[in-house]
Amino acid sequence: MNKKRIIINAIMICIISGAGAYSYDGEIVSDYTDFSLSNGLEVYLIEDHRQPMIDFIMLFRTGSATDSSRLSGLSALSLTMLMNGTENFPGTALNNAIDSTGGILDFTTLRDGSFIEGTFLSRDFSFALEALADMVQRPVFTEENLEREKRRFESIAMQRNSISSARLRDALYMNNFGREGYGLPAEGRRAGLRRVELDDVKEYFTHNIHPDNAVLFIGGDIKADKAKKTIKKLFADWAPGKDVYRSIVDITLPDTLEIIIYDNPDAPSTDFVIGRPAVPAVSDRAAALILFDYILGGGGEISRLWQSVVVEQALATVIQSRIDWSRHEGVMMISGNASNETAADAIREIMAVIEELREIRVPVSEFEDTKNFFYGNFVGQYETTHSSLSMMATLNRLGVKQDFYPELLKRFDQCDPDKLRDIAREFLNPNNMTVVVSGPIRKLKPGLTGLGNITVIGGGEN
Amino acid sequence: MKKTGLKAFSIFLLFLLFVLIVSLSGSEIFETSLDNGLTLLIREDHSVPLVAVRVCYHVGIKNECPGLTGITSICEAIMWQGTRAYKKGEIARIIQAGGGYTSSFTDWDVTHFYSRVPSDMLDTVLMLEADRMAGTGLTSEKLLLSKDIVRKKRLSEVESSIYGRINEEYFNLAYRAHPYGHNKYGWPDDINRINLNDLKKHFHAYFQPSNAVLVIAGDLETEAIVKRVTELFGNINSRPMEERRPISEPESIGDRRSVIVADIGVPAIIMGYRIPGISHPDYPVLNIITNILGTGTSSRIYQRMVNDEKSAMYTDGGIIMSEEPGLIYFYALLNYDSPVEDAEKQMSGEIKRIKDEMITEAELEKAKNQVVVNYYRNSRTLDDITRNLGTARFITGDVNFGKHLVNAVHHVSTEKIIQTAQKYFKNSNRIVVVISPPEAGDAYILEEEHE
Repeated sequence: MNKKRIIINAIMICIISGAGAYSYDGEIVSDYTDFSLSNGLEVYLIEDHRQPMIDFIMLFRTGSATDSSRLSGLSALSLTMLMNGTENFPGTALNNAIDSTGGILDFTTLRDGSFIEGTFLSRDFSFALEALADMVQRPVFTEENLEREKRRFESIAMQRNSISSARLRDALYMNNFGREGYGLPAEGRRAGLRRVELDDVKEYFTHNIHPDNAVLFIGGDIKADKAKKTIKKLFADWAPGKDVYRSIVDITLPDTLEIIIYDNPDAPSTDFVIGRPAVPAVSDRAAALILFDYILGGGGEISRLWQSVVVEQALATVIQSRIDWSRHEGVMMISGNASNETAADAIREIMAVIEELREIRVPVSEFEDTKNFFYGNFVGQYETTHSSLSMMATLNRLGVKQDFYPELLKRFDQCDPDKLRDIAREFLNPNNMTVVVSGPIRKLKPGLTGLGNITVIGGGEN
Repeated sequence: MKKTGLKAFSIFLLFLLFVLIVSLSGSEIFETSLDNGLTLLIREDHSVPLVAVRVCYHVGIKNECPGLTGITSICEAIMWQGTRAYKKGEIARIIQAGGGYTSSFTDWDVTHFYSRVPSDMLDTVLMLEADRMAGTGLTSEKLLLSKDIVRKKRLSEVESSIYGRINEEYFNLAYRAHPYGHNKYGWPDDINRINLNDLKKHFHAYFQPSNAVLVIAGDLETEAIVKRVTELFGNINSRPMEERRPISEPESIGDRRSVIVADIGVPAIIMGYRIPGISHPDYPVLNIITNILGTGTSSRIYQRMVNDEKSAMYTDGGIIMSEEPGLIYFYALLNYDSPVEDAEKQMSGEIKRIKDEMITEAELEKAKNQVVVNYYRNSRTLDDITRNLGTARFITGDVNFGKHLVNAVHHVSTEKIIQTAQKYFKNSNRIVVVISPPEAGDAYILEEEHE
C-alpha cells in the first residue's frame, strides 16, 4: 500500500480590512493509501475514526456519454439494475438486507462516470462490502425487473422535463454536443428507454461493470490493513471485462449567437441558461478559467453578473455561473431567473458584462480576492471523509491526478489579469454561445430580436 | 453472504445496536450566557483547520401574525444591507476573500446567519457578526430594498417553481390557525404593506442578544473564544422580551384535501398528518413510524407502490421538525400512466395496516438503525454541528437532542407504534394533496418533438 497525502502550501495576501493574512504551510488535508488488485481494480483508502461510520464510492469510468440516441438512458438504467437482486440476495432481499443495517446506497450516472455510493455504520463494514461485491459481480437481470425500471425511468424522464432548469440545460447540451453521448441527459429520453432490451443491459454490464474500469474509494472508521484484506477477499476474483464503451463527444459550436425560446405562455417568470463548451479539466487553461468563472458569476452575490444584473440594474432575481467540468470539454454556463418583463434586458445586460470582461483587466484587488477564496476554500473540500472521497472520485472521473488541487493553486500563482482577459476572449465569444430561455414568447421575443438567431419551440409560433 | 445467514446477522445487529446506543457520545459542548442574555455554544474540533460560526435568532414563520407575513425574511434581508462599519456587500466579500462562505435563511422557528471559514479567520467573522447584531440600522431605503429581495425570492422560489407552489398549498391546507401555514416569503400584499414601524417593532423584539444563540464549532480554543466573544458581543444591549402565546392547531372534522392540476410531468400524491411539536414524547415513536412506512427501498410504502403495484417511480416520507405543531408526511411520484385514485388507496392501505397489525421486530430494528445512521450523517460537517446545536437549543431546549433522540428510539416498542399510529393517523387529522398533470400541452411532448 502506498501512503499518500494531499498537502497545501499557500500564503494569502489579504487586502481585506482588519482580517490579516493567512498562510497554509504544509497543511495536510487528506491522508490516504492506494493500491491495485491484479484484476485492475484501483482502491483508495482513508482511515478516519471521528465517527463510527464508513463511506464508499465505487466509480465506473464510463457514464451516459457512451449512450447512443437509439438507446439513451442505457447506462443509468443498467446501473440501477444492479440493485434488483443478486445470486446471493435474490429479488428485494438485497434492499431489505441493506436497509436493515440502517445503511444507505445510492446510484448516480453522470456523463463521464457511474457511481455506487454507500454509507453504513462501521460495524457493518464487512456486510456493506459483501453486498457491493455481490452486486457488481453476481447481479441477476430479469425481464420483469427491467420492465419495471424502464417504466420508472420513463416517468423520471417526464418529471425531469417538467423542470425548467433541467430542460434548459438539456437544450444547451444538445445544441453544442448533438443528439448522442454528451448531448443526451444521463437519465435518457423516453423513446430510447423504451428500446432497451435485457441483452443490451447484459452487454453494457459485460463491457463496463468490471474491475479494470472501476475504482473503489472507501474511508471511515476502519483499520487500513483489515480493510485491504476484506477488499482482496471480496474483489480479487472479479474477472476483467471486455473493452469499455467509448464516449461520444461531438462538439458543434454555433457560428452565431443561437437563441432557443421555449414558449411557456403561463410562466410567472423566465428562466435562462447561456453557455458554450469550455476545456477539459486536465487542460492547462483550467486554472485561469476557474478564476474567471468566480469573477463572472461563480462568486455568488459579489460576482460581476450579480452586482450588475441583479443589484444595479435590477433585471434578474438570481444569476450565477459555473463550469460543468468533464473529462472532455466541460461547459461554461450562466443561469438565472428574471421577471418576464425584464428577462430580455437581463440577457442583453449579461452580454454587456461579457463584452466588458473581454476588454478590461480586472483590478488586482479583485483578482487577489479571487485567488484567496480558492486558497482558503480548498481545505473545506476535504472536511469530512465523505467529502474527501467525493473529491477523490470526482478527480478520478475527470481524468486528473489526486494532487490536482495543490497543483491548481500553484497554477493560480502563474495567472494574472491579462490571462483572465485572454480566457474571456476565447470562451465568452457571444458569436458562438447558446442562449436558452423558457417563458412567454410574446414578452421575450421583441427584446431578443436582433441579438442572435432565434428558434422557438412550442406555443403558437412554432 | 448467503441468504441463510440473514437471520443470524439480524440478531447480531440487534446486539451491536445496543452497544452502540449505550456508548453514543461526541465531543463536549461548552455552553455559557453573557450578561445581556446571549447564549454561547462552543464545540472544539481540531481535525480540520476550519471553523463554523452561526448566529441563530429565535424567530421564524411562527412569529408572524396575519398582515405581517414575510416580515422575518425582510429582517433577514436587512441584515445584509450594511452597517456604519461595513457597507452593503462587505460581509460576503470579506468572508469569501478569506476562503470562506456565508449565507442565511429563515425557517419555521429560527433565523440563521452562518459562515464557514479557515480557522485563522474566526476573529474576523466574530467582528462582522457582532457588528451586524449591534449596528444594523433600519431605514426606509433599506426596507424598500429588502422587500424587493423578498419579492424576487418569492417569484423565483415559490411562484415560478411548481414544487414551491405545491409546498405552499400543502402548508396552507395543513395549518388553519397556526402561522406555519404561510410561506417564509409571506403573501405579496403583506410584503407590499409592511412599513417601517412594523419592521422596527418586529426587528427590535426578536433580533437582539437575549433572543440569540451564537454557535461556534471547529479548530479553536474555547477559553480564548469565550473571552473574545464577551468583548465583542457583551456590550450589545438587549431589550425586554414579550412572552409569546403558543398557538395550537384546532382539530378538523374531516380531512383537508386539494387537487392541483400542474405540470410536474407525472401524477403525485402527498399524504400527511398533524403531529405535536418536536419536544413531545411521541416524537421518537413517530420517527420510527416514518422510517417503517417511508424511508428506503424496503419501506412499506415503497415496497407496495414501486415493487408490488408498480404504480410509483419513487416514494419517501419525513417529519417536519418544528417547535409547535408539526407534520408527518409521505409522498409518491407516480409512474406516468398510474391512476392517482389507485395510488391513494395503496398509500392509505399501508398507513391503515400500521394501525391494525403489529410490525415485526426486524422492521423495528431496521427503523432504529436508520435513526442512528441518520444522526451521524447529519452531524458530519462543522456546518451540520452548528445548525443542529443552534436549532436544538431553541426548539427543544436540549443541545444534545439528537443523541437523546437516538437513545429514546431504542426504547420504542411494537405496541407503542400501534398506539401512536392509531392516535395520529385519523382522517380528521389528515391533509392530502393530489397533483395531476394537465391533459394537453405537457412539456415532455414538446421536448420529444424537438428531438
